[in-house]
Amino acid sequence: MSKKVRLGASYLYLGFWFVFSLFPFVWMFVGATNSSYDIVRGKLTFGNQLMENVRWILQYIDIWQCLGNSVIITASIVLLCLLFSSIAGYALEIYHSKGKDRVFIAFLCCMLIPGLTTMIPQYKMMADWGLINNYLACILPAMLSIWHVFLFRQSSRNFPYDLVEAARIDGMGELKIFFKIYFPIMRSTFATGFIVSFMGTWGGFMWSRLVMQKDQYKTLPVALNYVASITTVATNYGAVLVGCAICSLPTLILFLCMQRAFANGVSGSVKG
Amino acid sequence: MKNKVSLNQRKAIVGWSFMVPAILCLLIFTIYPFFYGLWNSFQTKSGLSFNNYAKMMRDANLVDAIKNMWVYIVANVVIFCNSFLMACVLQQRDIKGKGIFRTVLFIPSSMALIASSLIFKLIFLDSGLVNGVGMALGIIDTPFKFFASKGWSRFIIGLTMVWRWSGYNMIMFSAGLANIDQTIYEAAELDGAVGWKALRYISIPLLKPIIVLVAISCINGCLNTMEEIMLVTSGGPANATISIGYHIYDTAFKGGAYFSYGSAMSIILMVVVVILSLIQMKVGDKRE
Repeated sequence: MSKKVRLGASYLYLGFWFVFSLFPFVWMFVGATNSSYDIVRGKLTFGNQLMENVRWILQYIDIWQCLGNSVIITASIVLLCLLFSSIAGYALEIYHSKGKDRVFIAFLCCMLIPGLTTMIPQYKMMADWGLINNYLACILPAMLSIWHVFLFRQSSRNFPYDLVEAARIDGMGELKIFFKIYFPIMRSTFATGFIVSFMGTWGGFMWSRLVMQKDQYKTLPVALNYVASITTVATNYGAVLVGCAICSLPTLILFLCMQRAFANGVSGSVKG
Repeated sequence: MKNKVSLNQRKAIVGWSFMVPAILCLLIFTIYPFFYGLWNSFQTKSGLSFNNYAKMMRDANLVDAIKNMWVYIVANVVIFCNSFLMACVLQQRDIKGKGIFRTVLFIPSSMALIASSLIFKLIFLDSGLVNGVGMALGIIDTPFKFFASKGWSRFIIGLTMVWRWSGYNMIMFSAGLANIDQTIYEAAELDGAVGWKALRYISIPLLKPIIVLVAISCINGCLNTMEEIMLVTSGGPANATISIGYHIYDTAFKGGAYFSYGSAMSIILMVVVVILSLIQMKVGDKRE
């Protein structure tokens, strides 16, 4: 195969996926500013219907309330997940012992259990505890991510243990060592953990749909699903696309800003 | 001496106490629900029995879901091959604009699942983009009902999945390829191993751990896909697109809320996933 053919084929292939990946995405943002009539006729320039579409959505759902719910839930999960996973991963490596290795293997085995298998009993548990329509129902089951424990354990291998020893000689408490020394040095790992956790949590739909049933507790994806279900009757595509855009923007912006941290996370999980 | 032992003990206590939140979370929200589900799956009106498991044999919807698996297998094979090819193409030294390609190809995966699913639904709806453009251009007179056709519904679900997940797996493969030492390729080039040969004898063997990882996630995709189906076709028309995962979710939470039957199916699903993953890992090990 000559070089020209190979390069030509490569660009053709990449070009095709470039357009295919981008088109629905662009259509979403452009569509958010157009009326249904223009959207389905493939108009690909920005229109002036954005406010009109937002107003239509606001008739049915309180989008700010839903956004707030999503922010509260995502922020709590990301924060707790990072805290619990990082401190566990740190302990697994820095306070290494045979017993902890066994616990870690148990962690990895739990990773094989499909989400669906635990979802049904979890729902019953939440119902029994009276946590339906409560932020806790969304937050509690997601507080720990084994993937994150794994990430922090792997990265702690590169953490200079001498620093811990030195800090101990200086009389620093163990918890203080974690927050004052480990955290600043491992910032890039925390960034990776943050973006992976955020991207996994923000769009969460199946579980939140089950446990957040009342309108005022609905998260953004759940509310958007509701709008879309009305729309099949009323056909306001612009409104749905506005919802999709609002739902996608945070993860998109985060991804574009923290691409490096994200790629590191993926390659980190691969190396392990 | 005595002092040292107590210091070590103190360290051990601190070490374990740091793991307490993680272990508690795992016990309460993974291990306990697992056993709860297991126990639940044996509960029937006539006391504890295997009835829920026997019921699966007579479940017509489950049979449909199993028959539909080929759709999701095809979709996941396409995702797997496509993401691998993307990563390989992007790995070539003389391709320009790698960064931009990589970013754009990943954009679909950075979107919320609900957004990507709804967009594809709107594109193919009766009054959606494809029909709108087709009618505006005069290619068709009446809207084509994509979601009334089994074949098209399956194709659209597959397309949504390929669109959404290709870029994600590409990043995995890219990371793996980037970890391979370039000097290996240079040495192989001297021996005449370029292009396909280099791929076959260097990239693929060295990438094996990642290939296994992605393959496991694809198998999970075949069995567990729910969101896309729920949002795009709701399993229709006539069960043409229901997956095993979607069927379990539907049984457990919709209408009748058959928790114990749903639990029974989800336990079997877990057994299948675990077996398949173990086989994958074994195969991955052997070829080393």
